Amino acid sequence: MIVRVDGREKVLLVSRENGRYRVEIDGRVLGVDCQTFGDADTFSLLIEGRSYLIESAPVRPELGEYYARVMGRHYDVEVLDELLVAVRDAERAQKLTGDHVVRAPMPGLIVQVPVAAGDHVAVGDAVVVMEAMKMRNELITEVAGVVKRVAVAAGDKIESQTVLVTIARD
Amino acid sequence: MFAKILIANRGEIAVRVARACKEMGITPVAIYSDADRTALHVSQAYEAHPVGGSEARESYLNIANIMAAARASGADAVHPGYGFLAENADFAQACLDNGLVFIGPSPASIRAMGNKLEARAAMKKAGVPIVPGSDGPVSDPREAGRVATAMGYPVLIKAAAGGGGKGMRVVRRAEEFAAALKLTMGEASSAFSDPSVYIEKLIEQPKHIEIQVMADGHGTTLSYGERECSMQRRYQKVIEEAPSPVVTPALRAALSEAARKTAIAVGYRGAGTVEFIVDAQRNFYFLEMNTRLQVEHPVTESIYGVDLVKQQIAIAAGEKLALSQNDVVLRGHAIEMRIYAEDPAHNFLPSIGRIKRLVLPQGPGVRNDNGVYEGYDIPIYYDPMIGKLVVWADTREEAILRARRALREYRCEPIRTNVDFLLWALAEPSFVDGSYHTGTIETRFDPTKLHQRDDEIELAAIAAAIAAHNYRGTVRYATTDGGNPDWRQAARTEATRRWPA
Repeated sequence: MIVRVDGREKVLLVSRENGRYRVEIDGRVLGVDCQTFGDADTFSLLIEGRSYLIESAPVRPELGEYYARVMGRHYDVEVLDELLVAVRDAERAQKLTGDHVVRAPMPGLIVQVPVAAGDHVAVGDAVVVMEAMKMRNELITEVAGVVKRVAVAAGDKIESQTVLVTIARD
Repeated sequence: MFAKILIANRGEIAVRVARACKEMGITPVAIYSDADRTALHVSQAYEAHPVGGSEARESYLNIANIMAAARASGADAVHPGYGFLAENADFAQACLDNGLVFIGPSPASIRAMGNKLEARAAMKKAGVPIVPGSDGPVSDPREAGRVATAMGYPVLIKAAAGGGGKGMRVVRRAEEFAAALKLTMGEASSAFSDPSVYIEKLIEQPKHIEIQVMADGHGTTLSYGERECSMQRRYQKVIEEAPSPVVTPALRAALSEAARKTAIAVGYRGAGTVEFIVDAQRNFYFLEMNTRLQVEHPVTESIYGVDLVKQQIAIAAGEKLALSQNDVVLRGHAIEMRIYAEDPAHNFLPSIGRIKRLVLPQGPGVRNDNGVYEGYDIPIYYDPMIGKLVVWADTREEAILRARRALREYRCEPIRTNVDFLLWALAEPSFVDGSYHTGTIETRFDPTKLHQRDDEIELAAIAAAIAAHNYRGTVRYATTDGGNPDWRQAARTEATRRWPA
């Protein structure tokens, strides 16, 4: 499988062997003693005598999305086969060409919509100001372009992932 | 002494106050909003009363409902915690009008300090140094712009009724002033029901250092030294420590003297905090006085071996402080880290949802003031702080090492927390050498640098690959008799939907 972490790509092969895992990572072979630790998502790993407590679990496994928490730090990890590599790459390519959609990252209240359909926006411009958890958050556009559609207005209560603004790329 | 105290707050501070009550033989009474029936603080009190809807203004800011709960419980005093109504003079007055002791200063002291403009004027008169600024509220954008230009950029626009970093904005260039003024006034209006703002000269690279005072109303006003709170993000403190690495005994004495003067000038009683900004030449200026317990009070408790909440309660009950300033001796070093449910890798957006696993750090010198539990759903209505991790050690160097060790034990899954960010902050060279200032995080933090450790990336890859291996095994097994499409089919369906025809 192809594993992507933090912009890096590694090739891994995992198999079970005598109650342990045989992990081939970028051509190196490691014997990994992996025991679940209290719950199914927490692993005690012993690798060549070194001991690690790591959590890892599926987030959206159908898309190959997992997370791992190592030494207090959270990592988003993609675990992909050839098909999923194609899916994710196509998704990325589409993100770079189609309309840019700004969605609500969390439920909240729309406080202000500083743009209107037809406005030109630059990368980093705030397109929506929303209030959630007592904080005002400016949602910015990651692309430059022309605002095609504004789907919300000040005062709207919105759910997570609501489409707020659609921008046609320059 | 009181028999029953109503705690007019939620979250970790309500739990903290309840603990002090129990140890003093006082019955703690919780209040809760609709969203908070299953919040930790309700379970940790001996009595609990509902006070209204999930939005804070319907419950934790609803004075009438809280007074009704106090009457229903038969409480004889009210502890306001911090935030919500803690610095609301009308609330303190309502307590008095209902025959309840308000555990805090008088409504008059709160009013004197609550309006920052009045506070500035009072401090000027008392001989406490203040930062140059507009000596009155400004609302007309043109006039405000003229004031700012006369002072010279950069300037700070602050809500007159604000506090805790809310309703405050830096403006570096004249052309950005009008937009920033409008935004700040809008926030001030919605957050504090008062749009007035004032303008202050911005001191570059300042340190935020505050003095804890405790006045017993019988003539004794103690200083419990300073806390340094310069590790801030968008004016929200994230790490606080005591003592400050730059405060010398002479500076501590001078700051303490100014803080005592401040407290005495407004006839202060109870616990209060006088905030100063300190420039690179160690000049200090009065910023504001917080007429309540601070979030970061545990660092002071750690180095002075004192329980500030118990002292607040005892003073409110009319007791005299049995200490003099000579008895206040600091020992060791303490660091507090605020744990927020927010994602440092994605612009610190709040993270909500159910906590499936919570493991708090343990071991020598570690204290957790926590407001959540395993299985708890973090609600969207309140501040995203889930708890505070406080460490104590003999020296600052040891305290930093202990803080790092403890953070690595912290687990709160699958909620995103700022633990990664705190680990970054503790390793930031200017934090380590003590030269950091309130702009350090803004200028030095780069979210793309959060995860660049080769060893950890490799371990993350191995663990996730094993998790995927196990997950796929389970799903395949499960589908043999269910007839559902397996994960591969699911991925294909997803793919066709996502691909343009």
